[in-house]
Amino acid sequence: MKEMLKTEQVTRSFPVAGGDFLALKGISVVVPENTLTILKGRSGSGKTTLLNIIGALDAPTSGTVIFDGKDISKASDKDREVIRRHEIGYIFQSVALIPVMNAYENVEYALRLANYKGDYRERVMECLKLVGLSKRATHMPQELSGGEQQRVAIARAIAHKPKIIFADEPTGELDSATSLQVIAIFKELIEKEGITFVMTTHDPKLMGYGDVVYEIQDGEIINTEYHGKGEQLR
Amino acid sequence: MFRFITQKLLNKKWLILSILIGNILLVGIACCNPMYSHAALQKMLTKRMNTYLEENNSYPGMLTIDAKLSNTLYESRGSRTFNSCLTVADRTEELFGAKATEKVTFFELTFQQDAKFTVSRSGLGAMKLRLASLSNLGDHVEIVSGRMYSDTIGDDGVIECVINEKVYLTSDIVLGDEIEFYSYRTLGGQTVRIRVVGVFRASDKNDIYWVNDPLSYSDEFFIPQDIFSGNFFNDEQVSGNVHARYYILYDYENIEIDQVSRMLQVYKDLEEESKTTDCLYTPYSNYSEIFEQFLKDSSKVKATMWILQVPVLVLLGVFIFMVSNQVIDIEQGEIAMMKSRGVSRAQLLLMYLMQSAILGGIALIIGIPFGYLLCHIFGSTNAFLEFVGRRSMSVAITGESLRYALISCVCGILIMTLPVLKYARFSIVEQKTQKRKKTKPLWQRMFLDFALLALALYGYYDFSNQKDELMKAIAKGESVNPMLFFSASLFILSCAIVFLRVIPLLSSFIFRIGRKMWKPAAYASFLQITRDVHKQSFITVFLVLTIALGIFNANIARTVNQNEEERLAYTDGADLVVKENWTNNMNNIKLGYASKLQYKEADYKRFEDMAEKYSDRVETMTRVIHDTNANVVFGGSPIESVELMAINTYEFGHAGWMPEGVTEHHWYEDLNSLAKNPEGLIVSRNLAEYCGLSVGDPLTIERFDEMNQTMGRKSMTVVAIVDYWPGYENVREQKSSNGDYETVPNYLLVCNYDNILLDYPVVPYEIWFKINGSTDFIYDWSTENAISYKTFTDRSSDLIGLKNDPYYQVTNGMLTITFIVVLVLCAIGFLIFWITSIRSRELIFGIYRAMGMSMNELIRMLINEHFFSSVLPILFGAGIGILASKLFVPLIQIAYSPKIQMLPSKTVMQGGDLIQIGIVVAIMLLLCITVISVLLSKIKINQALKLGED
Repeated sequence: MKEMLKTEQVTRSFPVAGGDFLALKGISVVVPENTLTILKGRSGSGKTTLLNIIGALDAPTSGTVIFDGKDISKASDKDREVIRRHEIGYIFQSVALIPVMNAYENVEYALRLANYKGDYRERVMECLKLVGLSKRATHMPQELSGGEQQRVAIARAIAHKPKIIFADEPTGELDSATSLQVIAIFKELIEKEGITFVMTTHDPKLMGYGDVVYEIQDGEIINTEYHGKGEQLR
Repeated sequence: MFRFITQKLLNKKWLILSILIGNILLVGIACCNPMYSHAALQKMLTKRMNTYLEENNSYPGMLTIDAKLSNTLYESRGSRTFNSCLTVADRTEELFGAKATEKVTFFELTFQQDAKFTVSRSGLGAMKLRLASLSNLGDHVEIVSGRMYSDTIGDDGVIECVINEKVYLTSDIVLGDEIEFYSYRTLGGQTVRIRVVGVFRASDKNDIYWVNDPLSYSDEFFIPQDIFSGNFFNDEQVSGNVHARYYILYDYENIEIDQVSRMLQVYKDLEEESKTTDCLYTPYSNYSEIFEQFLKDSSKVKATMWILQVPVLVLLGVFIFMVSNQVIDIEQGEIAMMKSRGVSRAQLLLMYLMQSAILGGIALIIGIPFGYLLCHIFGSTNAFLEFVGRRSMSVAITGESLRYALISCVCGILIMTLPVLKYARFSIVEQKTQKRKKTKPLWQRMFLDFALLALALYGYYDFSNQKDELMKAIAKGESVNPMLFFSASLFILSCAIVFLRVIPLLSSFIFRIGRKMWKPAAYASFLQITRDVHKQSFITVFLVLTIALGIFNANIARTVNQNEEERLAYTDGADLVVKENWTNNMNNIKLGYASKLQYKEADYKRFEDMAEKYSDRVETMTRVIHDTNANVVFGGSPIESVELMAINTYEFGHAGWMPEGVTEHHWYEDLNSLAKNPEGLIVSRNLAEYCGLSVGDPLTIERFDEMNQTMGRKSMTVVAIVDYWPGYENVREQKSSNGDYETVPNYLLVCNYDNILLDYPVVPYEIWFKINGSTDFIYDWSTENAISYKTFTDRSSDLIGLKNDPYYQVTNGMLTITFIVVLVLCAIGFLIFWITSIRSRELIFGIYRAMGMSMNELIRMLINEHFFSSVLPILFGAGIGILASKLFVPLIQIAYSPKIQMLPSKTVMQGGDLIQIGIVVAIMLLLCITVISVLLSKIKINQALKLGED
């Protein structure tokens, strides 16, 4: 199974009063292609810090991050922007649609930013259909429910055909039924679009859906679980 | 440091500080109105009193009560007694509420024809003699010879008297002479006998006690006042003819403006009373005319100040509302939460009211001294945005100004609390649902903006149709119609809110044009602008208002100033016009020794020498014969009192001042026509029209001298017809038969100087100067050479007089302050809007960044947004300001036009003001973009997205 993303001994420290706080203490993880990888952990465990680093939003203090065969741990801001723009999609905990754009435009905007080469309309509608919202394309974010908004956010994240999507607590503000719906969409996209998903969560109900589940505590991986497709990595 | 500042700016205390600034300005400006007008008007009053003193050489604040008594008059006096005059005189002080600085009572006994007297000494010839008395004479004289009279009648029954030096020197009287009036008796039946015991002179000629020059008492023999009143008249009877005069002098320099209307009323009441048949006295005052004019002018100044002030007060109100709204927007979560926790609406309102009251209180404390400071700034404004170190006025914080401060403070508190109302209604749930609704504001749905614009345009249309009536009203001394200013302000406001519809239309139009080709940054910003109109509408309106108002006010100020300065320059004719006093034989004519008026020409060479000595100052100097004593022979009855100028064309062309652009061709062409034809004559348009003259026609004139004797006729040929001429006004005021002033046409003739001298003797001429720089040297030179002028017109000093006129000072001061306030508000409002707008969108920026938008793109996006929500309104505001100026300034200018509008007024716009606004705006934009960039770079993407848990 191909490795989409791999970290080796990644550390990250933040300056705090009276010295540095080490948030990540040498983490090595592997994200296989075309899977759902879950980072599990309590608040303050460091899972979001790790997600930011592998998601090219932040740089590690030390260690390497290999994304699609390239070392991005030393990449410049500019290079990271290019990677984010073209190869990565994000889904956030708090629903993060652009309020002045309707569902369609929110999705289309990702295409614009990535300078997508195909037909915009076709792709946008395709993505909205994938998340089951093709009928709500012209609705403004504030006219949609929380789950619907999150689905638009998913459609936006996948629109420009990124290789990998990072989702930080994507179900954090959703009820469990809607949460499962979202995960189902993730799984569907992994199959249909060949995308790789990395998400953080602390919802134990969702753990079983992950192909690989890393449990993080105090900046260290304390446990790794493998399910389904992930079994072969064991 | 920068980080520190921005950090602080981000905090709410900067918003609070902005609100405070708004309130301080509100209180300061509101309370400086009464403070300033009080001070300026007090100054104007004192100045007018002083001018009266200078021009008439008599004490300005004086009330005179005059009573002439004779026995015949006494019979019809009814219940009045003589002493009622005295009580009136005494009462005035109480009625005026002002203390008199001096009271002088003068009695005089004018003997009847048959009053005969003998003197103790032979050799005294026939003499005119009056018995008189002045109150407290002893305190105001020094005895030159002999001694002061005794206050009581001596044992021998002789009354002692004193005379002044003049009487002493011109008569044969010596000290000790006794005069007995054998045909005249006192009330007690005694023969009147007086003895001259002393000669006096005024101890101080400038003593205001000497209402009349002491030497003007040329045949008065002064006796003690008690003796006079006891012996020659009482309440019941009078012996002979007694003339009594009460002079009540008020300290004119300390007459408070509040007393003016009272003093005027009291005087009018006295005057009314004196008309009743049984009244014995007649009042005179030399202040009533000054006061009446003053009251008229002061109401004009006050009205003008208000009119100019209201827009800026409204703008401040809008500003305070805007920022308070911003603060409450930030706090809306808190408010909703409190509501949900059971805090009642009233409690919430009370809480915010208290918060506003604290701010208002601080504003009141700082605002009043600030207003005081503003008054001093007003006092030192020389022109628009120009200040001089003028001796400042005595500004005092009056009760009225405190009242104004308090009212404005309360208004401020209410405005600050107003925005809470809309949130106080909703709990957190309702607030969230409320947020979803997006409808056009009520006024847009009802087309109120267009209705207002139509109303403003109607106002404009109406006023431009009544231009003539407007002019007449102003000429009558009425103050400008506030509706005119209201229409102008309404025009600006309605344009601003109509613009709110335009911005989204315009941006969505541009957006649609290139929907496919816009870069992501531009795309996002267009959507932001077209979809989030509501949030920006306030700052848009505010920017349009401030910029338009700033430009409009600047243009009013420039127009008023320049038109007035040009009018002054034009009516003065040249930098300096003087006419020397020449000796003449007028007295001889009066006495019958001569019949023809002749002058001895003053030596012109002195002026030529002076011009040579100060050649760096005197650019041109030329003689101009200039009078209004010519007749034009036309048909049966001649046209009288025509203005005539005889000029040396070349020099006059250099010295005379004409505004540019009022005539079709340059006035030098008319001068050239005159120069070519020695017998030529330039006539004014009104004369040409009246007589049906055209170029080439002959015209006969007849000149008269100052004694109105003819100097002969002369025929000349019309070479040019003019509308304007340096120093020439085509109408003049004349008192009509019913006492009102009316304007009549004033005709002008201009001919060659040499040609006039061919046929007429030389008469005192004017000398017209073009001066380079200050005219001070002329004053020094004239004093040194003891040159006395009949007329002396110095344009620069006239200009200073104009600048000191409270009407203009108020206008310039108010407009300058408004302009500065507008710029300050504009800058603060702008920064606040942008900083809060960015703060509230941090999350969105985080999303953009996470999606791969670069920092530069983000900044470009904001700049694009800037363009539509700030730069466009600013440009539009400038356009509106210019348009409003073009429409309304010519109308408003009328309010400042002189009684006789000679020159066509023009709307003046100075590019400099626009540049000034431009610079401030540019600095603002730059500062803003810098702050924004720094703010953005400080935004941690992960923090903005709330990704981080720690």
